Amino acid sequence: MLSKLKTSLVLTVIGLLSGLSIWGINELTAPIIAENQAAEELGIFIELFPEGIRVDQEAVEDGTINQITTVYDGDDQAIGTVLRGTANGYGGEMTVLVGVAPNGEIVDVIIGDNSETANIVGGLIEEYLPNLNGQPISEVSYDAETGATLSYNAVQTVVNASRNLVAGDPLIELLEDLGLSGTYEETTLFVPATNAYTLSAGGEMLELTLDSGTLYVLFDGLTVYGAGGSADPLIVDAINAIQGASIETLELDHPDRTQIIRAVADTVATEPMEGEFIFASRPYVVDGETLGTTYLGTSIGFRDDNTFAMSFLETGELARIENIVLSDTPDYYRDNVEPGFEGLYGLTEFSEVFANDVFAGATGTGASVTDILKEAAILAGGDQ
Amino acid sequence: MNEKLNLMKEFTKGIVSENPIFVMLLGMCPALAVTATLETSLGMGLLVIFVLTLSNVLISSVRKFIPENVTIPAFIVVIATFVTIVRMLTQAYAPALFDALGIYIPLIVVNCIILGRATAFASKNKVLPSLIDGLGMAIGFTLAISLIGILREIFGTGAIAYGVYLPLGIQGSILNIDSPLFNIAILTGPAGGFLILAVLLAFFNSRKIKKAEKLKAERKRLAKEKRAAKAKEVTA
Repeated sequence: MLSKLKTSLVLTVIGLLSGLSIWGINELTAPIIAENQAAEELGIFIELFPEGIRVDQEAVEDGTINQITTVYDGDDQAIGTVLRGTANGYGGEMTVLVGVAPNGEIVDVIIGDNSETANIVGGLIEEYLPNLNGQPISEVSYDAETGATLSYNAVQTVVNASRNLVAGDPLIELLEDLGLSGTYEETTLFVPATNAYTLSAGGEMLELTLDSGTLYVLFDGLTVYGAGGSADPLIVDAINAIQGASIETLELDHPDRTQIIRAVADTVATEPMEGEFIFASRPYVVDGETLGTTYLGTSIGFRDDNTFAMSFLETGELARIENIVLSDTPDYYRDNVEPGFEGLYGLTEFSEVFANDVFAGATGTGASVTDILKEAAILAGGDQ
Repeated sequence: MNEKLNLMKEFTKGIVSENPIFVMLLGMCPALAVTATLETSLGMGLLVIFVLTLSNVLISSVRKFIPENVTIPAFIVVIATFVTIVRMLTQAYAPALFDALGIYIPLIVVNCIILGRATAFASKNKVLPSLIDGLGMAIGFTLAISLIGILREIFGTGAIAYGVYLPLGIQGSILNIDSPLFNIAILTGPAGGFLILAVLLAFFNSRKIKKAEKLKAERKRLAKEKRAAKAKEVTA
């Protein structure tokens, strides 16, 4: 008993002394470390605006942007603004600095503290971030394919939040232009490659990334309220011309027409379900013909939840697997999981295929597909 | 006099006969990861000198109070405390070195040399020999990784830079050799650490083997001479 007491006492004393010494050194070094970080950031501001000699910093509580720094030149004229924000990437919180010139052009986007995979951040810095430089922040558009979804998403979140602070929120402006008041909230409407919002005034809004830019479509059911964004004005005008009518009446000789109609129709037709993995379904429509049912499901993969849309023909055969949300490494998914889908199409019975480990070497991500597919196959009438 | 000799022996063993990197093959992780330049190697070496010496001294001074069944957790707490302290000091006073060494500073906690010396030496010896042992081992480690760093930097870039990572007050570079032989880019990358370490290990081991062979031959010669002398004695 005494020896146990002695052991606890010794460990307590060691722990206390350790904590005290770390606290003391932290008290000593914390202000110096903060000064170093401030000096490092000042270096970035001056690098962005080389004529700057003085900065004025303001703390912001925006949720994403936490600091706005205005850089002044020798004549005390503001020559630029740097917005610092944080958003979640693949490895956790990521700091991004956005430099904006007085004319509203993006000067540079810099990735600060982050825990992302080094070569993915390197790829973003070399290949994708330079594309943002020189763009007007009010109409910024992004590369659709970056191969680094989560890290690039974090950059987009901070750049969008910067845009909202510098140039005003384009979604609110769009709503006002269309005579709608109120706010919007991000929602999950199960549509691939889009962001979706529900409007406090009623109805929904989809943000579609098209080759020509971003398109916002406002609708309630299939009825269109209007459209806006940086996409081809021909598309925006064509949608605005059918306000009050069904999206299916859209007269537009443009390759994006099908994608726009399908995105809205998919959102409207989606019915919630309460399965173990399957949470919604919608008709599987090809060229206007309903051929079966698409099941939407979510299951945990290697890192977090993955969401897939699995389409089955009325006869129970698997016709298509589409990824909607991917939390795992995109390259890994593309190289090890996606190639396995081809072998599954046309099947109604999957147990033998799964026994042969169709997603070899991609355990976590592959398992999330298997979970959803097993449940979807039963719902589609096939035998899992 | 004898005690002084012993202390000197304790000090030099870590540098030569029991060098952690080239003889005992301990602490390989930083030896491969942070030796791209002389300055980062030297920086890591200085941090290890601080942690190893102080943890040896502290562990040796409290060794009699630590119950045997909790020695390892207690040692780990002591080592982790020194590593945390050195991490904060580096971040405050040498931020460039802090950024360059990154994750390898907290990883000093699991460096085999530190826990190895704490259990094998400091927990069984008095404070002064423990201090000398820690200092000698840490200096041996520093010299070894600095040698790897020098070779990687010279053959990789043709120059030795200074003042980039360590807060020396001045920045520059020496040697600056302009030759393809001194511009082998692979040596500054991750593979460079393995290549240079392999060459150095091969060099030191070949010397060791040659020495052992010479010793064997000498022993053989002595035995032969001894046998001849004995035979002569019998004949006489």
